Amino acid sequence: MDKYKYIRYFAYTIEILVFFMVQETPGLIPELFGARPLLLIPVALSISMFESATASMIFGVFCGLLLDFGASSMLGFHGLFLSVVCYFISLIAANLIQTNFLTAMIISMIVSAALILLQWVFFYLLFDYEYAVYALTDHFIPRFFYTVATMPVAYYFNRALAIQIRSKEE
Amino acid sequence: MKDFFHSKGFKLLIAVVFIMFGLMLYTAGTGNSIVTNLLGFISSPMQKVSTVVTNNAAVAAQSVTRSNADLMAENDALKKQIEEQNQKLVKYYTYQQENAQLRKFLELKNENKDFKPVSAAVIGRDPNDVFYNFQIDKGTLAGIALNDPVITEGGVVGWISSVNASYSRVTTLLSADTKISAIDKVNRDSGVVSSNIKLSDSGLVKLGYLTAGTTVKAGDIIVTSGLGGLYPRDLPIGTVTKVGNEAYDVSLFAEVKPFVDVKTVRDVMVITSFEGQGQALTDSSSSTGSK
Repeated sequence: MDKYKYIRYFAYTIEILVFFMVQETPGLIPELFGARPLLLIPVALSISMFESATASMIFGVFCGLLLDFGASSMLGFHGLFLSVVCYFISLIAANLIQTNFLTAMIISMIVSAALILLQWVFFYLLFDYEYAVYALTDHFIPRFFYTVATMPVAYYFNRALAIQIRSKEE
Repeated sequence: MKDFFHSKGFKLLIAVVFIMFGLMLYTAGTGNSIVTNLLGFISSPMQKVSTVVTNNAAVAAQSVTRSNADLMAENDALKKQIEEQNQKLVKYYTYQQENAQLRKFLELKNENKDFKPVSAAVIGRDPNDVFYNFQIDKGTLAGIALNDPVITEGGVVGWISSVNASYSRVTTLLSADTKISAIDKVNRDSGVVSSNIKLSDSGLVKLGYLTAGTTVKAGDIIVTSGLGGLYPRDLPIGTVTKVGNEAYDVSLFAEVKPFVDVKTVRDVMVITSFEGQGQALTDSSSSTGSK
């Protein structure tokens, strides 16, 4: 039983590292309206829809720390946000809502909007840079849409992993 | 509900929240941590490999994906270009004479023997960054230090804003955090090169704090002044495209098109040592991280 769980966790870890590299490598993902997606958000969210609360929280921390590392922002900002969010999404997915494509998209939209808005506030507005509204409309909002657009890939990929690498008892 | 708050998972969540919060405060204060170094050691080699693979794939894809029509069109364009070049050759001798004069004026002579450069490759560009800052594959192990200038053979690219053992972050010329003391090489008017998000998106910077009577004009070459000891003097920055009035005071500014396209640059050089480095570095500039 445990064997499948650990293989799955190992697969998630590799997946996260690969998505992180894809996200950070210059020129690999084309820019749309000057934005590139934050691939680790859909990945963390979709994992949390299929895993236990504690595991989701740990993968949330991992994705968050990588996002912090990539963004060179305060280490812990995305980690804190995604750990809490993934923990509660896991609980909600297990007890309150159905886990399907529609709910995945709704969750992705809400969480991405919240996180990207917080990024704008903490890493642009509070730094007192000029043209804050322009930054929001021309950088942060396109990034939000692009991030949400990658959710189907992350959702179906992690759904396949979660279903295929699982013992019958789980 | 009571069970939920007493569950192991919830207690772990609270512990993680405190750890993350502590990490935030720690890195906000020091700008560096063991975790950052650890993540750097794991991710930098992987990023290096993926960047090389991507760059090679992009070059390979260019020749495969181009049609005959594209190649014919390119051939025609190149023929046209040769004709234009021939015409330009006639003007060359005139310019050569003028160039000798300008060269003397620009002092573009062998003054850079004091540089200790470290070459580095761009291995990461984060989608969160709105100012086109990037990550390079060299860090303190290669002798790179905080605030070291980053250049290419074309001119200034930016400066090292954070450095770890195996990688560093470069804050580019297009960042609102960058401020470089600069002069117009033609008439020696001085100002400060800075940027904002709108200029950054257009790939431009501005030379600000010019007096009302400035003689800076379009076409002038802007170079570093060397003041402050953060950049060597006479590093080319860009050419002036237009001069305008500041919105809130009587000073003027010049829009400058940098010589280096920092949005696409792949290889850079970090100057780890130069004559006059850090001579007039003030506490304020180093503590705010701006230059």
